Amino acid sequence: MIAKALIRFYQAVEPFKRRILLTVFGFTTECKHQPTCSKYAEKQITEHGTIVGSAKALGRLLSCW
Amino acid sequence: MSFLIEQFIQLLVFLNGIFGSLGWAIIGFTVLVRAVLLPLTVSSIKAQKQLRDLQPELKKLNKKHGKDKQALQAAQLQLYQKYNVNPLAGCLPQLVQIFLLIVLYRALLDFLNGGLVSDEALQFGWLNLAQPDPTYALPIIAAVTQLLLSLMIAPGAETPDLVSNKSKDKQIKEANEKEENTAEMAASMQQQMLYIMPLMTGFIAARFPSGLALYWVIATLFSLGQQYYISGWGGLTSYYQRLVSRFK
Repeated sequence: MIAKALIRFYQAVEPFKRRILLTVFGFTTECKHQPTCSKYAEKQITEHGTIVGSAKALGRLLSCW
Repeated sequence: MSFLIEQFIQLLVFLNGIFGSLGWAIIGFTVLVRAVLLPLTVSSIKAQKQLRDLQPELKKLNKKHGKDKQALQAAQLQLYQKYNVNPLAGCLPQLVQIFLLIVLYRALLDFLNGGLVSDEALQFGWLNLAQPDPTYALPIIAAVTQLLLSLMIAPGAETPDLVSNKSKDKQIKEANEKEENTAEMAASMQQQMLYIMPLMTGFIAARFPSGLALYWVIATLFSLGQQYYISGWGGLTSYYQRLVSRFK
């Protein structure tokens, strides 16, 4: 529950982060993975539970650099 | 981090010495930072524009490969290579950006509050750069420029289209309906974002020292110029036309 709430919070804030970076630096980066990591994390947590799902999401986050 | 902040403050002090005015120093500082980032910016915005143009192709690929994610990624990569698209992707650049953002923010704030410059130098037009703007002119400019930027990067009135609605196939009709729904939802989300961000910008700019607001406004203007140079007025034209037609 908490993990999902955090993800939702991130998704709500993400557009603002994008815009701030775009305004200050003139560019932002695109997501490397599709679906985005936060959507992926949501799905994995639903399917595998918080612990396993979070671990999977973390693994994917680490592969994005 | 504090080392970097110190360097930026030194740069600001140096620019202040050259321009003899803090306001011009901040403007020069903004332009300098953006000029250094220009090559990165141009290539990234170009890639974004190409991506937007390739959206229909990408959708086709999505349909074709559906669940086979590896094949989908390979096909996407091929498409990108074919059109020579090189989007700056991944979170490392963003982490660097966020880090730099904090450094810039701290440097400007410390510089403005640090008593490094005289009170006269802090005066810039009607503004005391260490204080919020009492006339709210700068926050309003910040909000308006941000709104223009919003409209320019908004995709405008493009509607997704796959197969014509005249088709008698029930499945296609349903698929089209679904697509319209999601497109509408995404559009309304963007619509909200369109106005929320400028409003928030205005409010925040009204609370912060006007030196920071000045930095923000110059950076926004710079972004506007860049956006225009690379992709023209973008969504601004369609919003302008809608506005005009409403008053006709």
